[in-house]
Amino acid sequence: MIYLRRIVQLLFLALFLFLMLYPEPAKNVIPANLFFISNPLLVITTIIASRTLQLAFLASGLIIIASIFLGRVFCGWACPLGTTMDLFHRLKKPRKPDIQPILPPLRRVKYFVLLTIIIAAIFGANIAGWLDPITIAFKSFALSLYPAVDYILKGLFNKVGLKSFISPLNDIGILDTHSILFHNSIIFFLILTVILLLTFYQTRFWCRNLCPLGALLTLLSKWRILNLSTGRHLCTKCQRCQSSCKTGVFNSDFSLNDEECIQCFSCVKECSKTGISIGFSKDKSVRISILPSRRGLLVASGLAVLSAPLLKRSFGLRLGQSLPRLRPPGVSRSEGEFLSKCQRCGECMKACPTNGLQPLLAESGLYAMFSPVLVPRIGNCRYYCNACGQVCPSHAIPDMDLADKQEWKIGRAYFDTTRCIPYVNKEHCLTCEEFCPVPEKAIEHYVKDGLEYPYVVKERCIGCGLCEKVCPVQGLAAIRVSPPKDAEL
Amino acid sequence: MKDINRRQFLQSLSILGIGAVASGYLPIHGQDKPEDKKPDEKKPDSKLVLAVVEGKKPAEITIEALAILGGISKFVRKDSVVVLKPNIAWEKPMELAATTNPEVVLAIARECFKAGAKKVKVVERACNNPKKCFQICGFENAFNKSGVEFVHLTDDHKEYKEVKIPDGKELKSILIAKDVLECDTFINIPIAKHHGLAKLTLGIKNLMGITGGKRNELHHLLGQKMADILSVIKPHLTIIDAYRVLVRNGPTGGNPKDVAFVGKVIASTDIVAADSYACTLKPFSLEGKNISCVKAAYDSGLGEMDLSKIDIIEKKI
Ligand code: SF4
Ligand code: SF4
Repeated sequence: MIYLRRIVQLLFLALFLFLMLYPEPAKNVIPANLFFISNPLLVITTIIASRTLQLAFLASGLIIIASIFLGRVFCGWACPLGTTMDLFHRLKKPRKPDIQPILPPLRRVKYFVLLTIIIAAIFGANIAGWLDPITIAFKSFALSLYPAVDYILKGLFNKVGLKSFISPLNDIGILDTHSILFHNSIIFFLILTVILLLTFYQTRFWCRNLCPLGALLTLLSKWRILNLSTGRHLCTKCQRCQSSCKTGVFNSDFSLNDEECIQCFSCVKECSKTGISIGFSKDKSVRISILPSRRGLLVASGLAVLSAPLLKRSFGLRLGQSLPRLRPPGVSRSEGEFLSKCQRCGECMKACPTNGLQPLLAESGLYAMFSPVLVPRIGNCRYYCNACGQVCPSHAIPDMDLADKQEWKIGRAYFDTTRCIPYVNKEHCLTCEEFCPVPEKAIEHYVKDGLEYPYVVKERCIGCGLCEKVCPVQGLAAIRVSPPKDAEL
Repeated sequence: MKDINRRQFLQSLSILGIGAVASGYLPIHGQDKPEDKKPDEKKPDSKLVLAVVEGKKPAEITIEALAILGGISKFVRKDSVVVLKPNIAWEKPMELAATTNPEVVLAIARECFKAGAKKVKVVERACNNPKKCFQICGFENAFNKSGVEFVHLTDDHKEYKEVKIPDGKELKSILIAKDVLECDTFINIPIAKHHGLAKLTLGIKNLMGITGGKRNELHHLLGQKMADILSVIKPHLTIIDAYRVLVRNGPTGGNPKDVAFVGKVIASTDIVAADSYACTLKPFSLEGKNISCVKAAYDSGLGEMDLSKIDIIEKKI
């Protein structure tokens, strides 16, 4: 069973990476955002926070049903972050039996995390994406590790003159010719590193103590039918179950916290007498629940209630509105509405072929953290692309037809004639006009004394940012896209 | 060593002037012994030939134009390496006439193979994502299984080599793609279209796609800079795709209303002559001297702009 589990885990991790790397999301039969649309935590918080229901979310039913009947199988068998932790933990050698502390108070933290997320969602703030394991895994893999690997491989292959080796990969969109980088994405790597290092203290530290998705699945699985049973008459008190269990289900007095069980079958394999089994009958072992007490919950809810307005008001939604950013095409003109739907998952940033979509940090307020923003100087919005809408799991970025996307005004370009080469240096340039991709160019020029001076025709500009990207002026471009004011639309 | 010789040779070629080119004399396989090519070898009676073929099928008119120039085997020897430089710089479907018609390029590539070329490469440094251009412009479909190699140049300096421009008025050196410097025959296949800064982009401007470095720095005094580049890397053959041309909103286009059907292909060994003729096409109605690149190249003695001095052979099929 344990081998089967490992294979399934690896398959899910492979699927996760495959979907992450698959270059043309729309052409794939498996939706690129599968792991997100089937993630109950994200689905529930997004529905609550944005007050919208979407058909794609039905996919989460699978995990919900599986958890109701089988417990936290998702954690043990499918979660890519969990698998990564398991793989990482194998590095710890020699694996002599060590019995890890159970620490019930720490374990309750995850319920409070979940509670805070849900209450924030009730107040319209969607913050699940900061702490959800799938989004953590995706961001660290796609936005941090992938660019690093890309950089190393490209450098290596180019040095060794093996360009021809990567070009077939190029053809399918991996290791593409342009380099990929994300603003401060090392943060995601650090988050992952901390989670992984904590496994040296307790295996699956994150899953036991912090994971809000784990907490949700535990709650769902209260009446599960797949149970752990210990054959007490066989027990030799060898304690191998205690040391092998990934989530600390076995207490030292052999009572069980089996609501935490992730059905990983390690104990079944390790038990010297194979007295432990996982099956559909429940034995009479003493079971201890570590759900938080009612009083704890009340106090925590009170605090969480406070946290939502705190986040939304003082930490930045206001600021976010006064400092609007260039959002991906098609998103709500209201920052608040957009942020209530955006799961901060990073799918759009990975999908954006120009690398223009970047994660915000605190520039637009803490509340907008990790939401996508278009940075034209890094990458423009490609005229022939609508990838971000295709992968966005919560339709915070709508899935628009290409033709509609091509008309969507992300913003509007303005010339900075104190920097623009013809205006300042009296030299020819017109690079922006040359590149402007709209059929009826949004940049035109007039000629004075034999020199071409460009200007923007505002009705035609879609704010794609290509002009800003290619402007030859160093540093701040001489043409820059600003978010549109409603009046200008 | 090969490219140094080649460079020297190209320099001497520009000194030899158009006469040598006009005589159909081409530097194929002669690069290693430039001293062989003496001015007195040119045939004084021959005139610079420009082929203009009109028709409904892009491939057909291309092949016909090559035939008028004496067939591709005059330019491509057995086991040689040929570089084709079409314009695949923009992500626009070919119907929008922002990029060279793939059928024209394919027809030329096939002719090169027929003439015994060992390798045919299509080289381009695109402005938009090169792979996407390759797909959207229709090259991926057309060149499937053609045996032609596509070189998508990037910003990587290693793909280029710095070439000194001894006679350069505005540029003293330029990065040029190694693939082009190292080939035996270099065929330039631009599309004729509108361009904001250059007015029209034709053969000479198309050479920008083989240069490295920061290309928008070439925009100031573009004409002379392109002429300087031309002085060190002269295509053996220029074939202008004027099947569909873009009249406004170039070089990117995008509006079908801006595309005019001309149905012509213009071919010549003299890039300036080909460009100069293309300016006069109906939808443009300009002259070579209106276009800074053409004018500067002519003034630098890199080719013939005066159409009356060219033997223009027009054909309709
Ligand atoms: S539509 Fe624009 S912003 Fe969205 S992924 Fe494509 S290029 Fe990036
Ligand atoms: S003016 Fe700039 S931002 Fe506007 S459409 Fe053209 S390239 Fe895009």
